[in-house]
Amino acid sequence: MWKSVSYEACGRSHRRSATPCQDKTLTSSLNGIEIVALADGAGSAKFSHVGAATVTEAACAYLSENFTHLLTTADGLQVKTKLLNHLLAALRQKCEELACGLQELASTLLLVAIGGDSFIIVHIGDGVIGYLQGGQLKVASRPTNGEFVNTTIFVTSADALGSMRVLRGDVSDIDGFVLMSDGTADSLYDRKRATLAPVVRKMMQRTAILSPDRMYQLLENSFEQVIVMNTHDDCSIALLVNKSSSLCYSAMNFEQKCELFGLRATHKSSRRRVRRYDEMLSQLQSAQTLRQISRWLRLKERYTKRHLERLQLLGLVTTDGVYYSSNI
Amino acid sequence: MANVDLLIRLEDLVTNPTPRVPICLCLDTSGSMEGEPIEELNEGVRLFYEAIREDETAMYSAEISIVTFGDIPQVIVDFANIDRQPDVPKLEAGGLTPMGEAVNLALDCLEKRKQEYKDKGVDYYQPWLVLMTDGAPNGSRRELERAITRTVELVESKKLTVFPIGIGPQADMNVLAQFSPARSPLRLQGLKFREFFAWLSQSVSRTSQSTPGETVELDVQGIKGWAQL
Repeated sequence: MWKSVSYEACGRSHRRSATPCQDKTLTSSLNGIEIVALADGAGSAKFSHVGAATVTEAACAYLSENFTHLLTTADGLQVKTKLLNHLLAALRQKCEELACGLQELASTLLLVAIGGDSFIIVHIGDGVIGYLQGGQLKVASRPTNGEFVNTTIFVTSADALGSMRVLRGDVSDIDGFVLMSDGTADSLYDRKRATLAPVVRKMMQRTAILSPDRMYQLLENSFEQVIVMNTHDDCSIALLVNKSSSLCYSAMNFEQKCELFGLRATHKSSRRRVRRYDEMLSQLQSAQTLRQISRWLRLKERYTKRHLERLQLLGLVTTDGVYYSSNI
Repeated sequence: MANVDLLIRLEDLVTNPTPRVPICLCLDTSGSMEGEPIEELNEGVRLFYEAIREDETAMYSAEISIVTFGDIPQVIVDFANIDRQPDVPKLEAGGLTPMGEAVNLALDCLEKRKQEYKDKGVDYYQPWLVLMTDGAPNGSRRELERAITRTVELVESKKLTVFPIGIGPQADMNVLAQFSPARSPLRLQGLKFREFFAWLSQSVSRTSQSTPGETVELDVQGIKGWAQL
């Protein structure tokens, strides 16, 4: 029911200096717990890219194992302390391996975990966590910066516990979550109004209906061509969406479908083409051969194949041998 | 058909204001600066403006203010980015050296600007104060002490970066040192303002691209050729 995708891009500044990307993302599906995590390594910390990876791995593992326990623990401070101690223990182990200090592994942490009808959000430092509820994009956790824009709190900071946010709640009326690092937030989060760019909803919708490979490809194109060019910082994003929600294909209106298929909504043939794609996607809920689809559509095989190839290119249809199918 | 491979287009992005680096140049324009020193200082400031204008990031992030101290301390340029202050001010020498009053005025300007950023939701970097003199302060002793205390408190609480610069052999390096608990003052070799301002603009550029947790290492080695530490 929940689908996730994530992407991280090395910023222009780090590309120039051949420094590794310090943003790390991780998606996890273990013990029925769906998790997306993102960490942004501290700029000058030598191994912050390793620290960011360690923190996302440790946080995902801990939430997968202890989700129910954390959810039912009434004492919020206890939850924060246990989680932070677990993260710091993982980082200290990494310090020994790398023979470095803890601050060399400094990073932020953003995480959303879903189990059953509940969610847990964890946030230390900058970056933004948003969600979609009732068709409205909302912000669950804003960036924690110091007075100056290039200062924030890290997992390794002395005041990490004090500034750490842990939120719990019911996920039943939430359709999707988004995590973004500060580099991405430069483009998709209005700092003054504390609102998310409307395009985030479109990203959630695409995540819900497209194949993971196709969605990753779309994120890669958009980040490399647009988001990365708007900042010097590394940029990353993680999306976790409910594919059976208002984000599913059948809930899309004509204009949204036109945009998905790359059709002009004002063109006179677009309605006919969208209708045809609707029929094909519906029919392909069970795997079929080209001949079967062609007969059903009453369309020559070569035309049917062209339509199928288009849907395949868009990540809406997959093939297995001679069989075509769609699970949107 | 439209390009279906580009999920996010430029027009989909929010417009956040560029985070600012407020820089206050607090410059000695007393009578002793008359002649070549003030001419070289004018040329240095002009080159500073030029270098900032030529830098893609610094052009939008650097906000320059200039406080001079000659007859009376005054703000001759209030904070704005290069776009909004295309004309480089012309500094003229004359009068005494009321350094304490000038630094207090500069700090007041920085505080006011920071409050404006906060009110308008504009992010900013740690402000910079560049203090340049060729002599010794001869304004109010109390104002000087107040200026030193305020500056040191801000530097120690990491709310201000200060660059005290001595010009020529008569500059009172002991007083300049009192403004800077972390970094020793620099004495310019000769009148190498141009080199100093070129270095300053590069440092502004690096700061304006820094990210959380990044310590901007100022290239002190690069200064050594034209200044004494």
